[in-house]
Amino acid sequence: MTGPAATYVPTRALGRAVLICGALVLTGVLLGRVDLVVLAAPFAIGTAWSLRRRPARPPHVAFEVTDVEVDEDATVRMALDVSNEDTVPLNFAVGRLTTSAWLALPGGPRPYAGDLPPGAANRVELRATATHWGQPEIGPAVAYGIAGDGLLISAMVTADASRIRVNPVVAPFRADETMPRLTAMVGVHAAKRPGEGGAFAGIRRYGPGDRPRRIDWRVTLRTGELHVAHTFSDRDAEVVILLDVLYDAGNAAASVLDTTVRAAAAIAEHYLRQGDRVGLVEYSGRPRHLSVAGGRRHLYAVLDWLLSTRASLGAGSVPVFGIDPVLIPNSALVVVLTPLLAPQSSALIATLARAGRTVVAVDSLGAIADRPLIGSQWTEVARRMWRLERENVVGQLREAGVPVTPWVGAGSLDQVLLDMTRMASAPRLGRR
Amino acid sequence: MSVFASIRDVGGNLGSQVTAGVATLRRVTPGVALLRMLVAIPLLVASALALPLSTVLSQTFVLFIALAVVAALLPRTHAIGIALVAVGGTWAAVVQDRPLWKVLVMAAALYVAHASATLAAVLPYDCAIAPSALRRWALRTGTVVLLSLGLGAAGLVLTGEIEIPRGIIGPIVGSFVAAAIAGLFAWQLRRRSAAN
Repeated sequence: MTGPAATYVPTRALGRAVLICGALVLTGVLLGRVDLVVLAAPFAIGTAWSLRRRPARPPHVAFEVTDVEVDEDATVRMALDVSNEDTVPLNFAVGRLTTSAWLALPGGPRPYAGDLPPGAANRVELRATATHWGQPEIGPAVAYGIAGDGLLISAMVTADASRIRVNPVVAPFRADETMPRLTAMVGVHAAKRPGEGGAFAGIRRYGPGDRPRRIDWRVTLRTGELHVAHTFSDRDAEVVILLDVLYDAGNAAASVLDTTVRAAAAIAEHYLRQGDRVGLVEYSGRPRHLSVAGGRRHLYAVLDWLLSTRASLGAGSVPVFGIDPVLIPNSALVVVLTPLLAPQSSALIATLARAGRTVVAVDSLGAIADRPLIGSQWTEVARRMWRLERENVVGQLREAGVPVTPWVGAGSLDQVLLDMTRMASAPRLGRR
Repeated sequence: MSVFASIRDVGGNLGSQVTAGVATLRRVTPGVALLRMLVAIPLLVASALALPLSTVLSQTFVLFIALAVVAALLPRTHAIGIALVAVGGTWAAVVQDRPLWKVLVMAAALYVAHASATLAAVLPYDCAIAPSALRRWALRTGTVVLLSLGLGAAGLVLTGEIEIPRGIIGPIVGSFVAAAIAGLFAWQLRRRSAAN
């Protein structure tokens, strides 16, 4: 992984040594001053001694990363290796490993210098803390050799950068309420439809087709008629998480993007562990999607997909695309993680709801909306107007049948899922 | 933009520059700091030797202090060269009383400043230096200084005892010696190493 071979070149100090030495000797000779020749003597002897052996090959640099996949706040172990492949010792070999700003090294990243005998290698063990999810870059590593006590220096050699995976810390999330819409015939959710399952629904008279093991003997003996305990059927659900990352806000360590990704990871992990199927759609300047699927392997795919999430559009940009409706199954619960900063986002959510999808909007702006602002006397007025406008948007979405709830971690969706389930099971008026 | 806004911007820029400067200073490693001190202190010693005692306590010395500090802070620039030439030139032009110890200390101070600046110029300011590497460098530099001073002292003693006739022959021979030294360095630099 090294760059092209480079030879050693003299530094400015060599020219300085020759100049001062020559000037002192010449002046001393011209003026007949032996003391000036004595002043020149260390320069002459030191330079001649330093240049007696000259290396030809620059040092070799490489680095090794032990932990290529970690979680946030975990330690990433790395090692920087600088070796001397020449037959001449190097007075100093300076190596430096560049790391992403999201990998915090104690004391910060810095170069390391040490002497290198022929054929030897210096290894520097580094431990960084992964402070942010994503795919932070480690490298490139650079090194150069110093010979002749600083009179000669080699060109820079490099080792190519690589990336590691830092998975987001998943916020604790549970949604104990049942799903408003269910899809497959098997699963873990108690449907509102009677069938084979674990959730108790009630006692009724025995009918044709009922299994004998469902007979409730206590009620049967009391009433003198055969009664069975009937249950709700267990079904599974499809969840599509739509990440609205048209715009980002907040600081780099706790932004809308962070909340969105962490919430998406938490929701996806919860439903996938339950046995449901989860898909992801990114609403940004570069739309992406991950098909609906289930299982443990899909959880890894979800996390991998989330690591590439970026806030793509800046303020003032207008997205000219929407979401392909084919990506969102009719029966899926659509959880939209949105800061509701763009009119396009609320329009998309309303469109999905009007198209018959079950949509829940989760506000990912959170405390950023209450962040104190520095500005003129009109700043607070502008903020109040923005809040009114935002409340208006939320009200319009609710009118369109989309509940809007803030992201608060565990239980964020429980109340809205309960309400939606009740609404879904309630009788509806049909139009003629 | 109003004048007040301009002043506020300048103040803000100055503040951020000061903050950046403090952050830079905090990253300086002990090894690099030692090297920079080995540039400044020998230069100050050499300046004190090159200037008459009355001048050492005057404002002229402040100029030499400034030169030494700038050379220590900016070893990659021409500052160290200018400082060495200034001190050496002052010694050649001003100093009349030149006892043996003074010449030897002057020679050692000038070379140590040059060698330290040479190394400081190729090492980043925040570089963590292995102590063993610094010890070996100090050993090499000390050996060069001792060897040179030994030879210089012997030369001074010998020339003090030998009567050297002043004439045209001396400068001509000396010029050839200087040219030979420069040629030797050039040859050393250009020759191919065995590995090539």
